[in-house]
Amino acid sequence: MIEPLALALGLQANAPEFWLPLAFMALFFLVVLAGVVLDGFDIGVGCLSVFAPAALRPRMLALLSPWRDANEFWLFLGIGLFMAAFPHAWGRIMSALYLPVTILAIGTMLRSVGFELRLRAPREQQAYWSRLFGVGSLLTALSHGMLLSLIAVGYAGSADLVWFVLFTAGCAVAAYSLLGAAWLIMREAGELRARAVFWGRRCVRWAAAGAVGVSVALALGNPGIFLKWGGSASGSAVVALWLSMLAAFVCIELCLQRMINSSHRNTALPFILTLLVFVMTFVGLAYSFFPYLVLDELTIWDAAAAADSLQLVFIGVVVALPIALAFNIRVYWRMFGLSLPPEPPTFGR
Amino acid sequence: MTHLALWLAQTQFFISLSFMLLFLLLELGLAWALAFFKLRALAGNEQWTHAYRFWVRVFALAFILAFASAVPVMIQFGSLWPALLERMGNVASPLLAGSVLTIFLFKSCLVGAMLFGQRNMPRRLHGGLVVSVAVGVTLAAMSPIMLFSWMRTPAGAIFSDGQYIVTSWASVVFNPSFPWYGMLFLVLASATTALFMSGVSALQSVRRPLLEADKAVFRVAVRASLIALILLGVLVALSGRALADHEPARAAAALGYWHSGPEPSIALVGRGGAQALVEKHAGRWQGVGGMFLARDSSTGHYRGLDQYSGMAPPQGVTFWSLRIAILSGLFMLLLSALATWRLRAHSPDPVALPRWLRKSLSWSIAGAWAMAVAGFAHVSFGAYPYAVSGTVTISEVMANVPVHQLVLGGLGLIVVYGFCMVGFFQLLWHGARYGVVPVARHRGRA
Repeated sequence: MIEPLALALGLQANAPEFWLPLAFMALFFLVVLAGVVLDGFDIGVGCLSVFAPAALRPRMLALLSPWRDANEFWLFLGIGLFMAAFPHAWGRIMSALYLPVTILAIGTMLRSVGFELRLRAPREQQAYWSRLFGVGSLLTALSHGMLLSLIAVGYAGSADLVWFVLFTAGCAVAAYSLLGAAWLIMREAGELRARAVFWGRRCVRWAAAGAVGVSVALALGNPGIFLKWGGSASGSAVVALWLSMLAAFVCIELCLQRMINSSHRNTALPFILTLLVFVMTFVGLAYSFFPYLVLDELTIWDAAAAADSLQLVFIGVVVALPIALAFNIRVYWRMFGLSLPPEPPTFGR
Repeated sequence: MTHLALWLAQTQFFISLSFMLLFLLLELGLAWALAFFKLRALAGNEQWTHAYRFWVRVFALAFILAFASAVPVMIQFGSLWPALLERMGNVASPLLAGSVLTIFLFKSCLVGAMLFGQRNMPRRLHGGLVVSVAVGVTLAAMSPIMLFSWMRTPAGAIFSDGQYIVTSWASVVFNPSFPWYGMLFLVLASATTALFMSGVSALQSVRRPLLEADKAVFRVAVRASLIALILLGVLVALSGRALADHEPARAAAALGYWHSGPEPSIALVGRGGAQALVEKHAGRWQGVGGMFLARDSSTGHYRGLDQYSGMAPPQGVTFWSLRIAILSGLFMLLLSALATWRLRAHSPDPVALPRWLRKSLSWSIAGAWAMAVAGFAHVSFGAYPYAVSGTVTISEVMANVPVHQLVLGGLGLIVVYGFCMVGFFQLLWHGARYGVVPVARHRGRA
């Protein structure tokens, strides 16, 4: 697969002009995916904290505390990497998306400042900062949805699309809330779990609707992608992806329905399934777009910086990558399962 | 693009950048101050441990705000000036990536351990961590400054076919203005931080009895602010002379030098805008200031603003921001010199300083920040209309964003910055008044 691609571009497969942009694209994809998945439950819990009763809110935010240091870095790394590796696409994409990325900036800033300052604020001010964190999370989720919908229609944000953009933004809030709720179900027993199940059940269908909506817009808006999906080689893979997304959504719904009444055994299952849905959506999106950054106009090779500049960046990345991996594995090590082991009941003396 | 949109975009970007700059300066200065406290504490003087405990909280707040405000700046770098990276991406991308990766490495490995891991490690190791955080913050700040100075003196790269192509990385990195801007940044960081610390200590001394540790910090901060301000003054004069040849239009605007001619002059004040500003000057100091102006190589005449018709920086902003910066610097120099003299001549106890002096010293927090923002406004608006000096103008790289969206985005950002600023000072006052309690963060469980 690599060889014909290189030949089509008129480059050698081992020329740095060819493989460096490809490597950076892969890295960028991984960072974005990690950001959506790992920062995702963070955003989701933040969104839910707006609707949670005030008594539960401190516990929800405390559950996020160990991951914040690592979580808030994915967006920063993603932006930095994209800016450094693809300067020719960077401005074009960012300026076409001015409003959603500004909302993203505001949301992200409110989130990190709200969380960290709440941690250090005197008790009577903490509610204020957790409210700001919640609002920031909602804004971030909304902006992710807006970005996704605008990317799907090729950055052509016109007045006809307002309802579609708003719909997707709402669905993105639902999807992140689902992820956050599924994570809470896994992390904590008691009232929080019961509430999280209800939140999850409200969100799951909206998340599914958003996934369908974006895919339909992607296919109808871009004939090239529609053709790519229908191709003989990829056709069966696309169908398999669709079926497994559907199965995952159905399983999440079933799990959540049973969670309240009969079963607390597989509390990690909804979270893992939701993660799978997110990963599949992003793999599908990346597959549809590759090798374009702006559909049918700008490939990753057009957008990349000159090879010797990229090489310098690459050296930096090679130095940083092992440390980054070690750090992230260390931080995320105990991400699954209950936050604290359950305590044995106290029997009467 | 209309003039209004350009103005809005520039103002918006300037607000974001200066918000980040303020906290970056504080973070950098405090990182070195903490290293100093820690080393003194390791040498056996326990009161510095107490000082460390309070100021590490302020460092953490400044660090959080500087890091959080870097995201809007990076996003606006693309959403407001989309074509800028297309032009200079080959130069900028390694520098920006270097900064992002350095911040990532030292934040993930060092800052977390410094802030939350003090109890789990030997004292010497923690001391080493604090010093390496200071080095890390300095390194991470250097590459954006490198880019900033390169945009003013683009050396080591040739502009062809609409983009810069690097010919020599050594000359890109050590471009002629980098040493000046780098040193100015470092000294400005020490001056603003020392003033900030003496301001907070002065306020504490007005509100509550000071501990020995607080008094020690107060004394050191007052002395350090005096030294840093003197150093800053010398550096501003030297860099003004050195940079005049590289940025002649800014130099002429800074002095209010309108007509090119054989005799230099400095307009001390001026009224009105644009040309009227300098024409209707209230006071003009004839025959001085030649060292701060660029000279024409053929005639030997000093180059005035009339040589840059249409391509001159906005005179009002460039002219007044420098004067505001210098005036506030001089005012604080006076205050800290007075305080240092009284500490030396009367009593080494800072609480013995007269109350009015301590109250005025507490205003040096605002004064330091006014100086920093005004100085930054001078160098950043002084480069106008160029984004990269001589080749790329700001209006040609500007985004095609409707005005109402710019207004909306800018207002949103200003509101958020306001919230953050108010929150920062609330927490600072609370900590300064009642002390701080440690914050815990555990791995994997909560």
